[in-house]
Amino acid sequence: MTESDDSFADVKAQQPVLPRPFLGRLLHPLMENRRTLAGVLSWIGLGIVVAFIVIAVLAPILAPYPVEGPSAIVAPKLQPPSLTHLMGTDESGQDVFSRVLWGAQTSLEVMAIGVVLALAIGFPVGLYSGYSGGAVDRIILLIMDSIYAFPGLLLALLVAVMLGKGVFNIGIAITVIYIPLYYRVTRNQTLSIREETYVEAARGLGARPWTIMWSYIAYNVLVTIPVIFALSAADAILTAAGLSFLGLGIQWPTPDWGLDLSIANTFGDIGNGVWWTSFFPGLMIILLTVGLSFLGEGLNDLVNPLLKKERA
Amino acid sequence: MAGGETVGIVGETGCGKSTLGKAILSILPPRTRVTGHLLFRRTDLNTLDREALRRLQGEEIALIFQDPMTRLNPLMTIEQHFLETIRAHQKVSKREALERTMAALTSMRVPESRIRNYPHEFSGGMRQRIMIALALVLTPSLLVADEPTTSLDVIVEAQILEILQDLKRNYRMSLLLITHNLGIVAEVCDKVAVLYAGKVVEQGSVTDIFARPVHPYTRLLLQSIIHLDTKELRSIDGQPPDLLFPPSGCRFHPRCPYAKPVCHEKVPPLEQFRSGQSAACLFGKDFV
Amino acid sequence: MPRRGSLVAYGVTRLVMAFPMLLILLTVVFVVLRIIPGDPIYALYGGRAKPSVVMAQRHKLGLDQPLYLQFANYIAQVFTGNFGTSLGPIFGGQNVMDVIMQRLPATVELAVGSMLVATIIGISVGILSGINRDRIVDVVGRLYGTIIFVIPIFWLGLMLQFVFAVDLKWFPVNSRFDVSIPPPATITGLYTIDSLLKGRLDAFAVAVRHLFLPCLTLGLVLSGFFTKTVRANLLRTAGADYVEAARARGIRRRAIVMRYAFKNALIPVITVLGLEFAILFAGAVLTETTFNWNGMGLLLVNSIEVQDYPLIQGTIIVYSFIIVIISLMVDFLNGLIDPRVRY
Repeated sequence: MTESDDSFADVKAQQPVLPRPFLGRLLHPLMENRRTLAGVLSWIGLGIVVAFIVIAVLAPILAPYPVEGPSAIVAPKLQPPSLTHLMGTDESGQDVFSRVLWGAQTSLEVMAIGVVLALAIGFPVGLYSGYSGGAVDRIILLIMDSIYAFPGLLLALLVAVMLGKGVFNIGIAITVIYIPLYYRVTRNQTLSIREETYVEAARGLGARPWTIMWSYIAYNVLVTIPVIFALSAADAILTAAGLSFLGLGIQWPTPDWGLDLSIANTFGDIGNGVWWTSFFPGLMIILLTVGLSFLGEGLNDLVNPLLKKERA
Repeated sequence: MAGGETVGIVGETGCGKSTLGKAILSILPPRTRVTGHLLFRRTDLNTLDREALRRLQGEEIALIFQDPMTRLNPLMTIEQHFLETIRAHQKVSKREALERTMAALTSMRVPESRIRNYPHEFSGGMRQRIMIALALVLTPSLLVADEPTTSLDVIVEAQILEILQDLKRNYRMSLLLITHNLGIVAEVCDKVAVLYAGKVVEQGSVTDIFARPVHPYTRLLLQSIIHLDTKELRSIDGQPPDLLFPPSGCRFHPRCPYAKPVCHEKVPPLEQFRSGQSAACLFGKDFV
Repeated sequence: MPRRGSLVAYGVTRLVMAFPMLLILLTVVFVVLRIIPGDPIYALYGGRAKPSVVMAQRHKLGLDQPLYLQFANYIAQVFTGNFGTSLGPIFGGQNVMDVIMQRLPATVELAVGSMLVATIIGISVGILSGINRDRIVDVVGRLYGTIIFVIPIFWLGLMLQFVFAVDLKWFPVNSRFDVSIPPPATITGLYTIDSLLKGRLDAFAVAVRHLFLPCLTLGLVLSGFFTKTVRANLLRTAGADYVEAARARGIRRRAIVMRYAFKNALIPVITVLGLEFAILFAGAVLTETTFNWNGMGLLLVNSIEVQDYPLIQGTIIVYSFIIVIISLMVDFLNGLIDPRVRY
């Protein structure tokens, strides 16, 4: 009776968790849960993110006016929104709507550079640290935790001061913030997977540490990454915008939401009753970050319980 | 159940044993639909209001859980747990409450000196003893023990069982022992009820049921345990059913080797086959 | 020797462990400021200064010395609290530490006010959401938590300014105090406290009116994080085994909610409090810039604009100290509530 049932369940739990393909593990819960709140949020989030990618790619076609060069000054400055200028014009007489569309490109570029680089560094370091353990692990952990405790924006700000403005440099500045995040997630996952029966079995059969790390553990850690990726991407966009707002990020005339808000603030537009130069760029930041958060949190609700079940 | 008796509830994993235990204490999750009646001293527990129920819980009926590790509030000392429980039910001075706490702990062989410790400072066996002491400190008339030893090792299990038997003698309380371990039932209980898919399929005295089971499920259950003269260990084919969608008719029919077509349709009532032994099987008399 | 597991022993261990963290933070700042490719002076002047000027500045700041000497000097500066004198046009010649200390109270006032707004709103929405699980209140609460958290602080600040200061004129825009009346005499540097100590209720009202919008802005954004953690943890502890066991013992409902569910739910909330403070100080830099609030954050941004290297370094170091002290306080609070972490 139960005794035999339980031991059977044990055998099942000991089998490796590898087989399902990576994308399948993400798409399957997404397709299955279209009607739950988490599912709906994930789909809305995914839709928003895809829409922004399309806007970024098609900005040259979609934008009604040019945004750089002398021909970018298309109208008297500070016109309120109208049919010819949907979101009005700014301090220099540029079309806010066109700048806002182009801004998607800048934002996504900076975010992609920052987050992908952070993953590329944080992931292997976390894997190594978690797997090898011991003194090395503790030292890396202490360093990473200390950096993690420091306000991200301030750290990025320092790096940005040293490196100077521009899309690539800001991307690097943002990388620094998120390395500890990816490191932590990877390390903690590695620590728990390291103790799984199938990893122990592989070790018992004489597999090399390198093989175990990359063929047995890495994949299973990677499954948890999309959630963190989406959430840190949202945060990265906010941080990049913050840097630009403080005048340390993107340089004019490159169209960027944070920069446009910064210019509006410097000229005191709000105090003069000019709301459109700050409202619309900010709205774009919110839409994109809300999309990424919905996607990240929705996936978290959908994928993580599955992972827990598989491991239980 | 009569006063001072020990009744065992047995069944496979997932047949609703623990749910029964929680139902007796009326602590099922909110929005759970309850049908049927639970009579305690001729009162239906379902009809009691919240405060009356709360007075019963702990003072008249107490529950010992399966997993002692997570049942104590990690932020409270052992002393605080006891004082809180005693004072939730009786108006006594702190001093008297403390004395009773000490007495309960001593009877469970928990050193008094550790009364100010936190739950995380105790082992699993110790925590289960504390849980039992906590259940007994108000001397309830009915103690429900839900697999009290499953999560403990064999030596601790033996100790706990011994304690439970002592209790029965000393306190004259009724004990409802929920378990999947037939050995424990044989050792400790006077009566036994066999549960399948949330329903009682057979009940009677321990001697009757172990010697002359009526229901096919009980027979298979008994065949699946190891005796000294066991030559072949049998298991019951199939999985326990999903309780949200139980099978029609007799709930055991999909796995019953003697099932006939009528078993798919007719729900068997609990019938008496011998004095003090009843079973829910349409063909019960064939097996007597 | 204090008993193992006692609060004192725990506090002492934490204090000792805070030193490596502080050293690492200081080293990180040093690495970023001195070793990362690019020269601080060169970067600050944006390549526009004459080589001879750059060389002179480098020599003046000791940046032409070997790295290990620079590091030793730097650590000595930090622990003597002497960060040199400002090079900028505004504070030129003044002691960096003095300048920072003048600005610190404004940031503290903003931070405390925002944290107050954030905890009150965040915990209430979180509890409302948690006890109404999956009902409409919960859905609204969860959406609030997610969306408010990703709203750029400066955008929210500008919009609140537009509505409440420019359009409705309920609150003043910018700055810490009215120009028309004198600010209270400096005791702590916090206008609210100082005006109360001097018994000037009018000045107190003015200070609060100026504080309101910046604190609301920063507090709202921070509240999202609280909302999410409180809700998740309340759900977790409400279904916990020890809560079920307490119900079986007939403990009163209110005692269960407070002593079992809420207290246990609070622990992870306190753990993330450290993280919350990190966001708070980053957010304060943006809030100060948006509201022209004369605190440390605005000082940092301004000194970057005018290339005042000693002032930039000093401000960042003070931030590091604040972060370490706060993380120590959070740890201590955690030990006070949860006996398990004292080991």
